[in-house]
Amino acid sequence: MYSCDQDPTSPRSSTSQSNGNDVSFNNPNGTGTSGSTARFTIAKNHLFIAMEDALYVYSLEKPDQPIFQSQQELFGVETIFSLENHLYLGTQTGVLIFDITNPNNPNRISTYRHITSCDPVIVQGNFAYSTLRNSSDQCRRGINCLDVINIANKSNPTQVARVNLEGPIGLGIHNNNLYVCDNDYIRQFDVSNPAKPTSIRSTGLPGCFDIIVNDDILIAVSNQGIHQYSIAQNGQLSSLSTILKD
Amino acid sequence: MKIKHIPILLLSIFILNSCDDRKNELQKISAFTPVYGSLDDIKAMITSQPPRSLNSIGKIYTYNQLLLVNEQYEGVHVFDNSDPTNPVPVQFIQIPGNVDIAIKDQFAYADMGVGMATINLQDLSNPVLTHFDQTYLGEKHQQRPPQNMISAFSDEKVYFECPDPSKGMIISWENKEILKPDCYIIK
Repeated sequence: MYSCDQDPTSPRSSTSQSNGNDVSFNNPNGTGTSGSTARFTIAKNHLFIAMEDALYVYSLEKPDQPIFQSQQELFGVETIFSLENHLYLGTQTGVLIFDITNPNNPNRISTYRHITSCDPVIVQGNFAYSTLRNSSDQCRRGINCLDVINIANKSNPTQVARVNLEGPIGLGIHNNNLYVCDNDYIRQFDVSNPAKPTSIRSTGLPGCFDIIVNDDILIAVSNQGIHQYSIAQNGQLSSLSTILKD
Repeated sequence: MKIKHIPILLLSIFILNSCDDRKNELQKISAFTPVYGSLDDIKAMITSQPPRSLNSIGKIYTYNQLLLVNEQYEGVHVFDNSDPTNPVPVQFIQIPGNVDIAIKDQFAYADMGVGMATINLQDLSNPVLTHFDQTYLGEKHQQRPPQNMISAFSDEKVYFECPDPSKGMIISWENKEILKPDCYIIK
């Protein structure tokens, strides 16, 4: 069942330790990348924190000392995603879109409403991809699906597709391929036409819950460990390594 | 979820009721108590340690060739992921209460349940706290145990010692056997 665990290429966490000083901050520029279930995001030199009941904004003008700027009361917030001039908040009742032209005071411009479910959201171009999941406590009356939302007009987001899934959560996108953690699989969809996501293939990954796509590498986290894959031209995933938990 | 104080009237009923009930009232129960401290105390909590194995895996984050994996409520495993076929463990950064993190330049912004730590990671083997902020928790959350402690607690009614602001900043919470305190939360 746990086929990923038996991957012969898996390096168990070794105890070798490299010198931490030079590994990563030799070129300390820019912002990192979070998975789709993050509550913290950095955009426009500001830190945005999506708490369950409010959105908080800090200026990073002095990076060693963030300065609180503003807060907005919200409800059921679970995730935050930023792209260019906008924030996308996944909440239990829908996706909220904020304009951050003035990052100190995000301006809420629209809400894409759905029935109560838990949902991360990511965005590429004019489309937002949001998973809805019913398996956590707060969302047990919800549904399990992937929604594709046209956000060309940010003040009027409209659903263009819905795909039923088993228990989707984290997701990531690479060119025309969308990857969704769905219970025990990473589902791959071709979204060349976002209004018609086409199921391409599934890669077994029990307990998959979030994904980061960096260039041609997909990093997935499951309740078993960290799994890295290379992404082929056709979107197929090939295992590169696995770090298993104890 | 509401914080309530047991009405004084109710307390007095308990006390007046009978010897047995009075004994119950004086019985110790499992509850959360605030730990007060200074910025220096938080500084001392954030340390770099040798790599350890993954256990309770949380969120992931990448920064340049680094891969960070949250160990829920304990800190962050740092891997050198220059070669994704062979991620090499570098350090474990202990950040008690941590779930979320974001990094810009050499600064990490990390949630600690009781506040947000700004940590200079320029030298991964010596993470340095530069700032600590509790604003994002909102006023009510600053004065009660972090959500994860409440969620993990077995009973629906979670008792905690009412914070006393004159004692200073709350830097963590402990689960202890204490006389039934006045503050509680219904999950």
